[in-house]
Order: sequence, then structure tokens, then C-alpha cells
Amino acid sequence: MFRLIISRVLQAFAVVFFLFTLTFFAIRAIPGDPLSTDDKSMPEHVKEKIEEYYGLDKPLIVQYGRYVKNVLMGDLGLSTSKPGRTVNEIIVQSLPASLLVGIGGITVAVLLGIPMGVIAALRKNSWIDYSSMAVAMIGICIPTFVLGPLLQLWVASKTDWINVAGWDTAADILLPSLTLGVGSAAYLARLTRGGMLEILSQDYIRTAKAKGVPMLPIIVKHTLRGAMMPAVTFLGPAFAAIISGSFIVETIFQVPGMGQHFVNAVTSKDYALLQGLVIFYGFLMAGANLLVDIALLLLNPRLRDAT
Amino acid sequence: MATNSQPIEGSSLWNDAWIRLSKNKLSIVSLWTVVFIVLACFIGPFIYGVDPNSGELPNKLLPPSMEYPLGTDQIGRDLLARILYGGQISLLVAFAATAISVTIGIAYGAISGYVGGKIDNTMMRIVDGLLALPFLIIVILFREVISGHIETVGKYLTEVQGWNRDFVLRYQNIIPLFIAIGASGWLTMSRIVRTQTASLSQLEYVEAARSLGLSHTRILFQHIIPNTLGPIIIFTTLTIPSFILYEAALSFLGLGIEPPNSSWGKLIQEGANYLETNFTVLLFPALVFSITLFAFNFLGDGLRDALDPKASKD
Repeated sequence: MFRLIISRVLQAFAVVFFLFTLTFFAIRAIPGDPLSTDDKSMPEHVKEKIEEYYGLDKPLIVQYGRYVKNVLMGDLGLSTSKPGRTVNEIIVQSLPASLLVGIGGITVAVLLGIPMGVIAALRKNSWIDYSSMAVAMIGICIPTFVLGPLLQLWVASKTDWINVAGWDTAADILLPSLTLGVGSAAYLARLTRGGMLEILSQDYIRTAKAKGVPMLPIIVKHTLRGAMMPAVTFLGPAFAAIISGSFIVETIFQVPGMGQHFVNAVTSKDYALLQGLVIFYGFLMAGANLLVDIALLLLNPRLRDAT
Repeated sequence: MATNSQPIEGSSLWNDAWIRLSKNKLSIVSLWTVVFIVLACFIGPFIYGVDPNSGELPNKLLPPSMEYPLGTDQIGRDLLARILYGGQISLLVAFAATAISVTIGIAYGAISGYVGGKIDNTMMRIVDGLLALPFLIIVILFREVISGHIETVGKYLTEVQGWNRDFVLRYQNIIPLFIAIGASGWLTMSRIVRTQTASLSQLEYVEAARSLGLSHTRILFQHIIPNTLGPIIIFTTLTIPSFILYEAALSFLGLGIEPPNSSWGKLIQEGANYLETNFTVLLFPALVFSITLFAFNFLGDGLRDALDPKASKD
């Protein structure tokens, strides 16, 4: 199992390196350069000086080599849209807000989705089952950018203690997390329900029931572990959804996180920042997928022997 | 799609599937909803006949009335006309992107699965690598790269060829969007097709075709791909709503459809600004949008049950 984990880690690094190379050349395939967007009047010698400063005057392959070296040493370069600031600085500053909202979103998804799926499976084909699955379908089909404003409206009309947007008090994390988590909660509920139903129909559950084991131990000890497999597998993609969702949620609720910087980097053609964020997201995703893989190995002994 | 005629000499897979589908009420309702929305967006504007781009400021943000069935937007334009017209672009982008992604996905997956071995392995590792980034990020990157090139073409067309500037600008905005979504959205499709192709190409009838000396292209296109159509159709129906969603998300972020073009995502974004005073400006576009997503998703679920009865778990 240890060897399996090592090989997964190496794979994760390979993936990040692949993405890194791809984005490097993709970004440089965009016609024009970061400096020529607005200031067409910039004198030639000034431009050359600036290009030299950012290292844009070297041949592509030299730039690539230099960039690889810098990134390996943890330096993601200089932002061109925010002069004088490094990409590292920007990421470090905006990471906490994004991380909090992301963790909030995952928490909402897990706390809402898994119990809903378990209850729906236990009361299969009852009104509880139907209504919770209907709610789940609504959760899947109502996108964050509709849900967010609706929540804002609702909060604005009901309470005073939560701000509609902004990032000043601790309560400001509630609405973004909720908006972000509901969609994933809906998927989790459906997957958990499916997983539960499959395990509940197994022979060993029937045996346990026949031997007179009460329902609660059956669920907690015998069912949940196996039933969690599809849900845990989904946590990888869920993490991706949370990152994409954070772009929108941070815009709606004015959270000073990385998502906003990503959108700004695209619109202002700040390629250093853009690439830095892509690498960072790649790392986060690789890490998340790695954790999911390890969790699956721990949950399912059969996977450990397979490879 | 097969018609509902009496079964002659046993019924084909498609006939069976159609019968199963027509028994599923939710799917049939969804199918009609989809047909209705598509017709409404593409033919509706001709019948309704109101210009989505003309409006007068004094008429801004009116509630629904006889003259404006769904009210007006923030600069007095008829909201119903804008929803229909925006739907055209939303659906067009989704359909065009789906066509691109399905084509790439089938070709890539079929080649990978048919060739096998090291090439297959490398091709699938590339897919794994791309899947490791959130889809939205890949789309945004791609769109940036493509827009840069399209802008150059647009400049040439307006300045050298003397094309109409508004016309060029309009398409300069739409084309990169659906190319980007389509060119990044084929990954899962290629995996599905690959799995199917890999198992099919082990079967005896393919071996027979090979020993008859048929060319690889012919075996692939005439004997293997047609047999993978079921999963392809199911996944395509589920791809369309997800692309509608991504287009809307991008437009909401200001990285997608821009004025004078409009789409459901753009309308929702504009509506969200007037939420507290005029709820309807957000409500109606969001409602149409969500109903469309519902309908496509339920139709996809129904098709899965109909075409692949074994796979349906819940």
C-alpha cells in the first residue's frame, strides 16, 4: 500500500508538471503581449526596458527554463497588472479567504448531503425519499449565480446580523459557503443514497438483520463504510467544482479571494499571475485527488491488493 | 430516432428504447419542454415580433403587463424578447460546443481504444492530466488563447475586407466561447468511447472484419462506432445542459457573452443587480434557465434508463 501511495504522489507531480508546461506555452501562444494591451503609445525603449525587467525579451525556451527553475524554488514571478507585487504575495494574501469559503462549502456539502442521502435510502420510496431527491435535483439545476443573489435577497429581507456582501465579520462566511456547498451537497445526497441502497441489499446485511442486530449498528458499522465509496470518489470532482464555484461566489459576495484575482488576471492579461494561479490550482487539485485516492484505499481493502 | 410502428420480426434496440422512453412520463414531459423551448427561442421571436434591442428609458423596470408580458429590463427593453433572443445564443453556444466536443471525443476515444497499447496509454494519461484542472479554468484559458487569434482575423476582415464592424464584433465574441467550451469539454466523452471501443474491438465480429481485409477506418466507422451510439447519445444529452451552465457562468463572470450580444447568463447577471427593487428581472431569466436545465437532465436520465436498462440503479 505504501508503494501505491508513492506512485500516486509521483503521478500527481507529473500531472502538475504537464499542466505547467501546457499553460506556459498556451499563454504565450496568445497574440500580443502583456505590455501591449492598452499603452500603444509607450516608447520603444521604455517597452524594451520593461520587457527586460520581466524577462520577456529572451527566447521562449530560455524563458521556460528560467521559469521552471524559479517555480521549483517557489518563486512564481512578478505580476504585470499590479506592478511591484509578486504572484506569491498575491496568492498568500488571498488564500485565507478562499480557503475558508472552500472549507465552508465542503462542510456544507458533507453535513447536508450525506445525512440526506442516508435518510432517503433508509426510507426508500417514501415521501421523505422523493422529496429529498427532488430537493437534490433542484440543488443540481439551480446554479450558484442564481442561488447566491436569491440568498442575498432573502437575508436582506429577514435579518440584520448577516451582511449581504463583504468580508468583515465572521458571519460573512455563511452565505458564500452555503451557496458554494448546496450544489455539491445535492450530488453527494444522490450518490450516498445509491451507495446505501446497494449495500443494504447485500446478503451480509440481511444476515445481520436476521441475527437481530439493531438497525443503528447495522447502518453505522456495516453499511456506511461501503456506502461511502461513491461519495468519497466524488469528493475529488467536488473539490474542482468548489474551486470553479468560488470564482462566481467570490464575485457575488465580494470575497477578497483568489477567484477574483483569477478573473482579473484574465481580463487584464496578467499572464504571470494567471499562470501562477493555474499552477497553484493544479497543485491543490492534485493534492485533493491524492487524498481521495488514499481515503479510498483505507475504505476498501480490495483496492489495496488489486495493484 | 426510431418510430413507434408495430414490431416487425422482433424489435430493434432503438425500438425497445423508444417504447421504454415513452412509458417514462417525466422524460416525455422533458422532451416536449426541450422541443418547446428550442422552438420558442428560434421561431418565437418571428411570431412575437418585438425588437429585443430597442427600449426607452422611461419604461425601465416595469412589472409584467399586457404590453410587456414579462416586464422590462433596466433600460426599458422588453424582457420576453430578450429572454427569447438570449436563449438563441445560449442554446447555439451549447449546441455548437457540444458538436465540437462530441466530434473530438469520439475520434480521440475511438482511436485510443482501437489502437491500444502504448499510444492508448499515453493518450489517456493526457486526458487524465487535463481532467486534473477544474473545467472552468481550462475553458477560460482556452478562450483567452482563441480570442486573441479570432481578434486578429476580425481586424483583418473589418479593416482590409471592409466587413460590417458590428457583425464581426458580435461573432468575435461568440465564436471563441463555443470553441473553447467544446475544445475542453470532450475529455469525459473520449473516456466513455474509449472503454466501449476497447471492449468491442476484442469481439469476434471485429476480428472477422479484420480478416476480411477491411481497412481500419472502415472497421472503426462502420462497425465499432455505431455500436457505441447508446452511451454517446446519453452523454450528449447530459453535455448540453452542462455547457449551457458553463456559458452562463462565464457570462456571469464577464468572461463570456458581452453586449450587444445577450444570453441567459448575461440576463441573470444583469437581473441580479436590480434584485432588491425589481425581483422579476432576475426571476424570469433564471426560471427559464433552470427549467431548461431540468428538462435536459431528466431527458438524459430517461434516455439512460431507456437505452441501458441494466445501468439504472435508482
